[in-house]
Amino acid sequence: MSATSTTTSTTTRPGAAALRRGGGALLGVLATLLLASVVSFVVLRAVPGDPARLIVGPLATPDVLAGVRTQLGLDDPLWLQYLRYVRDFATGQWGYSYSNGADVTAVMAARLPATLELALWAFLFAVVGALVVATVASFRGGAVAAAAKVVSLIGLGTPQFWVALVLILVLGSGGLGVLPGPSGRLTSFLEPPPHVTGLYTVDGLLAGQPIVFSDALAHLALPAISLAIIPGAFLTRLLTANQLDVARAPFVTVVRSKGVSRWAAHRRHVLHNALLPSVSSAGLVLASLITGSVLVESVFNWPGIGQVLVQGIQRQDFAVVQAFVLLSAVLYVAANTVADLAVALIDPRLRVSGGSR
Amino acid sequence: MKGTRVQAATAVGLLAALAVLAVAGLLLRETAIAVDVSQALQPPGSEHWFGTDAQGRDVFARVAVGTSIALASGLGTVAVGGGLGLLIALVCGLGPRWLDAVLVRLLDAVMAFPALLLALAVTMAFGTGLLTALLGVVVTVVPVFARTLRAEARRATSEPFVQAARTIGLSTPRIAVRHVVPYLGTTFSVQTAANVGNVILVLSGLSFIGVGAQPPTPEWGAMITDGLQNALTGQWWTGVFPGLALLVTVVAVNLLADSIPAVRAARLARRRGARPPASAAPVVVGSEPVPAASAKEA
Amino acid sequence: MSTTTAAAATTEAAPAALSAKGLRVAYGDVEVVRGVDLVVRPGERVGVVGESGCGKSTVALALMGLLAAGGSVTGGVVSVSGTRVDYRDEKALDRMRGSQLSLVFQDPLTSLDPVKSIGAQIAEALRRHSPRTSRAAVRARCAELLTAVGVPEPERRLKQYPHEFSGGMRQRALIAIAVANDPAVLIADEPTTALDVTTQAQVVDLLDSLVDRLGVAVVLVTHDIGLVSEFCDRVLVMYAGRVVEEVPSTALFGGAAHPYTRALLESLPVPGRPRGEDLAWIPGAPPPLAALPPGCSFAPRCTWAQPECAAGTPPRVVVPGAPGRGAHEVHAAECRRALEVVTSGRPADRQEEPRG
Repeated sequence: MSATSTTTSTTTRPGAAALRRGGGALLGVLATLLLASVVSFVVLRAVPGDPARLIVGPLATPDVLAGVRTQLGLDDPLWLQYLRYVRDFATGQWGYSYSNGADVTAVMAARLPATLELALWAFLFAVVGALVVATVASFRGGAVAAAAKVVSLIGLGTPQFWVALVLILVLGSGGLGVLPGPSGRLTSFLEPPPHVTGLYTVDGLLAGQPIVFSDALAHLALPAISLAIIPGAFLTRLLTANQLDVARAPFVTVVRSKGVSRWAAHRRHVLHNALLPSVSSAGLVLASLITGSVLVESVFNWPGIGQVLVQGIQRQDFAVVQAFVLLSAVLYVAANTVADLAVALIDPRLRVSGGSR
Repeated sequence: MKGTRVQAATAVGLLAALAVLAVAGLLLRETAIAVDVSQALQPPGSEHWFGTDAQGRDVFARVAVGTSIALASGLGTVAVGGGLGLLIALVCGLGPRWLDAVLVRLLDAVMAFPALLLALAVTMAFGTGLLTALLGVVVTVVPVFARTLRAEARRATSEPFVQAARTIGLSTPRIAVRHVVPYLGTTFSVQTAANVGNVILVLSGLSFIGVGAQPPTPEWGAMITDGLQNALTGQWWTGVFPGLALLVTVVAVNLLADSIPAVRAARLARRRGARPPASAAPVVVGSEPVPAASAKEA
Repeated sequence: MSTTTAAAATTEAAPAALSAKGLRVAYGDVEVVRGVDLVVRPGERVGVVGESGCGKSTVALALMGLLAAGGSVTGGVVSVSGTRVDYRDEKALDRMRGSQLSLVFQDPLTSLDPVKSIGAQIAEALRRHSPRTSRAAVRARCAELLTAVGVPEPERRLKQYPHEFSGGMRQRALIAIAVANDPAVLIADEPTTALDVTTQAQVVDLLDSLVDRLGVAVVLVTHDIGLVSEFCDRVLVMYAGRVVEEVPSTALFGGAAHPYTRALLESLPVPGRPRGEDLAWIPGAPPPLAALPPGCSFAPRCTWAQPECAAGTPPRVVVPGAPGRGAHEVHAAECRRALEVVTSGRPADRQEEPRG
């Protein structure tokens, strides 16, 4: 007794079709980025008044002003200005921040580690929290699932800057004082650890300074929680929905028919299958973290790029705003691209082009 | 399902209460900006339910006015943005293919910017203030509606009723208005509900940063900014109450939005009459179809 | 040791591979299986046939303890290889599933985890019941199983994913998973419905050879009465949650004792009939289980029905002289007029007007 004869497998040549698909996707990404830069350019040129004045600030002298005007090429046709704008952005020339007294790139680079650390910890809280809640909710079902749904709906509607306020009032310096309130990244008398990554927690561990590590972590707690709420709620909803979907699939019953316990089946099969589609939401999570950092950092006196933006807005420092906004779009597109790539690599169904028998 | 009905009812109840508060706010506009430094930073009490802020203004009145601003802004921006999005969706769905392709890319490009930041950029470009903030938010809402409705519109064009309309010679705009728009009705209302909450959050975020409503306008975000300054000295009420109102409003809207699909489905099932007794409709995984509640051939 | 009930055990030495007496299953307050008796000897092939909605698949899932949410076994005594099954004990059920009682599902396309290799999924069945087996031994056994079910190049195939297998091959893999631990009984729920005819035949051949080689008993649940008569030793016909006829397959075509079975057989298209002749069919529809008619549930559609049929539950009539292989292979039907039905040579009256 033989099985149905199989056609020639194409597993040995996944390259061709995948490359074509990848090439198309890449073009799409570039197109989106380009259009995003157009949007950004148009919006910022919509500024009534003199863009040069905005760049140099209200206190600059007429010579500086004139110099900037020529530098920006404001007398050139718009399309030329746009090309210059794109070129400058792509090469990292993001202008000069008069309120910070340095190039925008330098300012951003200096402040990035703080935001990165905050975002990473917030992401960690959000993902772990979401995984736990979603798995328990989808496994137990019933009242637990309903409660989780309501809680995540509330979470999605929470203003992060207000939560920050409440946390400070309850746990921070305004209340119980259990955790440091709005006082930056480290208690004032502590020295930051030797710079390796710029992340105080990581560097503190690497340098074997447990006190610095724990202090940095304590300072991270409240801002990271504030930041984690919205992405956490979003991920909870997503993971719960995905797991509930997968749990209904016939193959899960087949797994149970092997004698595998309900929890083991959920852990090994439901969770695994539910995580895959969740990866595609990486871009949304990133956007949420960026937005959140803008709102939360100033509350906690956190010296990251979010605070830079807010200060830039308040000081009418246009160069900073311009760079930040376009950067966020680029990061979003990049995150989505990476996520899609990751899914393509991980999902066995997509790895083989066309599928063979 | 029972749970969804409770959810929808709660949401409606909360929104009704907020609507009342908003109406109260319309009447309290004078009180909300009445400065009285002698009464500054009074804790909540019988005279001032939510206390007073640093300039002696009654916080409750300010929260109430803020409610009216939030609700009006939220609904207004979503209505305008949704309308524009609908237009674009119709163009994409019923117009030439190349235009659709271009517009889709453009919409994706706009959606690559996080809403707050895009609105921020627009607001800064046109000058800070509540109106420009609203404009910025509208800009972020349009592509969301356009994309979702476009998908539906494309689906509609392959539906028999649209093709039938074409064959009898109806012009495209006519088809659009008389046939496609009603088809999109459900999606439109679902999207509206889903977006109002977010819009209100973004607006508050903008004024929190300082580019939205300007003082003395009692927008919640701006009030929370003030509240922060008072937080460390113990006057928690100036920031907590406005934020609470914000939280309740957004959550109520989201709860309502979340319950719409389920309520709709239940209503449709009831209308069709084939309301299967919940217990006699086993969804047996893998094999057994629903046992005969309807005629089956032998 | 043995707690088997019923007379079936008295003449045979070994306990029944599977014994279900008075099985009742309900979803909420609707009873969908209303007292089903099913006894399967070791190595026996039993068929369970009926229309969609008669409860046959529910019986299969209920026996495995895998009813969907809302369903539960509300009555009956079930034993597997002599051991009583307690459907409230999840741990005991987990131990029983896959090792003593296995189930092969209907749709091979959705019955395998798409992101795990075939090998991993077969290994899961093995490791669950033999956790201390070495990786190499498990792998060898998996290859062995794939060969046993007729999948060539097993080493290569084990590393592949379900989407790289055809429908027929996936069904074979599922069968491999089901027999991995040498269960006493294999329940196959519509194993061929989703396959094309050629593959169907191959899968049935496979099941056949597995029964011969492994000695596993097979319960074949299907709507295809032709299939069961070929493959099975005994056939149980279900209608509206009850077994209305139990018959050795050799006696099936000539002497069905229940009007429903008779009608089912007659509705089979027979090649060679004159053109233009209507296909026979059973008018009406199965009754809703939440609102069964009084008395015999088939009476409203039955051409043999009499007023007494609606009065009370039909008696179980044993047809004498059934050419079965043992005392347990009875031929019985739940019909007052069973003996008449069996002896009547001509087909049941057909209505002249197609639409009733």
